[in-house]
Amino acid sequence: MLFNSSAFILYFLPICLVGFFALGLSGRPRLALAWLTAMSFVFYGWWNLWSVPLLAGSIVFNFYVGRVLAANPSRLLFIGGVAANVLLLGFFKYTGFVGTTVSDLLDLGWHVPEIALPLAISFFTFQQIAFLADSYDGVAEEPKLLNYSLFITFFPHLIAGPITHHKEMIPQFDEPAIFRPRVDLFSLGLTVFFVGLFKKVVIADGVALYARPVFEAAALGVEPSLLEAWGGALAYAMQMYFDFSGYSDMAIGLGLLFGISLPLNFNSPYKAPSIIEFWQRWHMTLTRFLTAYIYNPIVLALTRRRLALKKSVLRPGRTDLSAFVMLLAVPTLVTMFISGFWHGAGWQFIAFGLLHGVFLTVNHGWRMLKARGGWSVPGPEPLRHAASVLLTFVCATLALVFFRAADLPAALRIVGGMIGANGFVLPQDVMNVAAGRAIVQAFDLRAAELDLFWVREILWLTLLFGIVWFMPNVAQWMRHYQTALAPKLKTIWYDRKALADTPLAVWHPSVACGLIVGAIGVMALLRTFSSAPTEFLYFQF
Amino acid sequence: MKAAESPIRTTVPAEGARAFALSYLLALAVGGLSVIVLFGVALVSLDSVGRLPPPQLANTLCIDEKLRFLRASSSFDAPSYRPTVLAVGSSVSWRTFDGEAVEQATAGRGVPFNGGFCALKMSETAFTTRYFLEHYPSVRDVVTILAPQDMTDCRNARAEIFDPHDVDRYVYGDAWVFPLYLKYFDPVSFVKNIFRVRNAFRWGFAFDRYGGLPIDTKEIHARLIYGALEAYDAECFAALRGLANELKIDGRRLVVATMPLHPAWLERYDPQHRHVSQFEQRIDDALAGTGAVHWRPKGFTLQRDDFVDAIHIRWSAAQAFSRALVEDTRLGQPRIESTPTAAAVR
Repeated sequence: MLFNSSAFILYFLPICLVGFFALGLSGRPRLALAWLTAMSFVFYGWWNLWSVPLLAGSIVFNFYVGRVLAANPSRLLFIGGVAANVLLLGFFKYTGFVGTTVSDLLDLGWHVPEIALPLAISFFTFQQIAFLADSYDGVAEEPKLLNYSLFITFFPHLIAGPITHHKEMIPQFDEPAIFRPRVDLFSLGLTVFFVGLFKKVVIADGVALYARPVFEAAALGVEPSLLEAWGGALAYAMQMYFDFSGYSDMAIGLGLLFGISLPLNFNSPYKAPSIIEFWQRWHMTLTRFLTAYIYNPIVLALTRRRLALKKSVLRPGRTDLSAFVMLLAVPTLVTMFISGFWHGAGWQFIAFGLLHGVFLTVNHGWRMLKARGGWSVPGPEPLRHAASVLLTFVCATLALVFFRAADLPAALRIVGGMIGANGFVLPQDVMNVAAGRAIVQAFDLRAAELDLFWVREILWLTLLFGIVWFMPNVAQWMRHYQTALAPKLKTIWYDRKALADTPLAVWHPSVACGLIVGAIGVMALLRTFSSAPTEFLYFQF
Repeated sequence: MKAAESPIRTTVPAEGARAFALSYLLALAVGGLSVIVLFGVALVSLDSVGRLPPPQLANTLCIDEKLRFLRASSSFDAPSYRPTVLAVGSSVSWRTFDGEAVEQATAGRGVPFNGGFCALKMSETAFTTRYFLEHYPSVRDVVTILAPQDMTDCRNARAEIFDPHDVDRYVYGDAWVFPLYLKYFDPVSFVKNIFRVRNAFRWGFAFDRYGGLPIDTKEIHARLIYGALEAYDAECFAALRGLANELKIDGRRLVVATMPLHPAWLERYDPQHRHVSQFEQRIDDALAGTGAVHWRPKGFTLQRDDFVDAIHIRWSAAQAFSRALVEDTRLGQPRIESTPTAAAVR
């Protein structure tokens, strides 16, 4: 069941809310939590009933392993517990990919059967590995199976994150305040949910129409020209951001309806002036997990080893090459490789992860070089900042091409187009205006009917660039109210005091904001319930 | 585990929060209702200036425009209207088949109806054929004019391009259209359609009285528009065969005409004519044993200037094409024992 489905909005959510608060108000908080857990299993099983026992089994297994680890931190049990989770994920997610790769490499001609991937297995496996690691380290202890089950299954975050941490979730389930409906939290939750729904069903699904044909054509062997490739890549970058962040907003809004706060998952990542900061703003809960449970342990182990061998380690302004390679580049590449492979079983996902690993390594290296040499890039700060943001965005877009492409060759066709390897052709429409004709003639360019680029796409992208670069995100817009678990967010021009009293510039539960959000919400709901098929863009008639 | 403080903080004083939030929730509802009211006002305004797009029943403007045309033309749902020849398919059928050729060949006894749409794959054509046959049981002959592009990518196409129930209400009933605009709400394509509604159709936008849409232009177009062909999809040919078998069981005849392609397209994308040969062969295979007729123009050629792109031809050529098709296959004429078979008309 998806949040943007009528089954969810019209039936599941109201029933779930009414049941939860009815039980909560009648003085049965444990029953209310049990209801929420049961409904979360229904939510999960809606997609595939057969996955429910797997999820339940995984929860029970990890809960009891965690309890034993908390009481008796056995290294063997810890490794066994983590291995069991990784094997489960590996079996469902990677058997086909590994089998096919081995078969192709050794020309074995195996027929590798397809294994249905249980929904959200990547998310709940990560969460539970974190729980085992913290139990082993003595910083997590949860004696109640019900609380633990709800921490894993709580439907707002179950299938697409945010990836929650037991420390921030489980204490909330023991908070008596959540069992009483609060009209202020309901207002906040509905607002965040409506904005997220609008981002998903109107913006992301709208711009997806321009991305899909390019990636589908590339999968069929078409080599897009420069404009077509960039059009597809930029459209996908926007689709991905509005889709994923919209879904995260919806999750956060739904959590608020139940009085439960979820962690922030996106913080205007396309405003990031470096790829390091990009990952602090994009899928933030994944970054948090990767950093805490993969990157940091690797760096710690390698640092200890190098210290024992009396080799150099990372030091601000004085890091040498071997320390940089072994303690920063290698852990970064390994972590991002795992991140890429976690996202999907395919070479294109590995390329996505490794590409980001390289970007991050270069970014760290550049910072260290600057610190070591005491350099700074010349030029006015706004210009340097804009150039940094642009470069970061281009890197992120390039990597997303691999993320979206059907396979590695298809991704390379689009990247080839982006670097001009497939030629530069202007749309025929430029010949309809005198200036366009003049430019074509002056620079000896070619104009033709482009199959995979639409002039109106430029309007879309301009609008969306305006939003992602110059507008506040939801958490910033609603900054006087904590909607998600997050540190205080940096804001830019819209944080100025002059705007504080401007209606709509900052969200307040005012009539003006209510009218706007209501309008956005109903538009999103109408689109959600709409029977209109996806518009067919790619035809000539 | 120690319970933490409630994580939700607001700056609204607790005693005022409730009243404040209630007025906000009320404003949410009013804002939402306003959208619906304003949308209705926008529809009326657009209609008054002639820029109202049709409801997005298929969310493909040319299909939705055809449905609007059928709704607006009272003749198509008159009880006395009993078409005997149904043309179906993608824009090649829609813009090539001339109903007048049938009328002339049958001295008015044959009644043609052009049920072609646009951008349809064969599986979708099969769906629209079934839809129109439900409404016009008088049809004896079904004709489709296929281009190779119609036989690709059926796998990813949803065969049901519209909801028959809603289209029934819209085209053949007197449904109030506002609920349909709401039900098929897509603000992005709706806004786009406002600006495209007058120029969405290349080469003119005037339906003929049979439901066809002639390409009535004298302009010479250099563009092929259609590029390299995707691989043929077995599901398309399976859909064709399934339709042919259904029609045979119903006692109807299916005539499949294959569209000649622009010579420049062939030179560029199929110089060895492999795609075209395979296309013709696979149609023969799909129709084998179904009694359907596969017609290829014989003794009839199209010139480069007849084409407006790789697969569409201008009306003067389409009329000649249709006459040859009707003459060879005796479309709309009473059945006789010597009705051409697939082999005979090749």
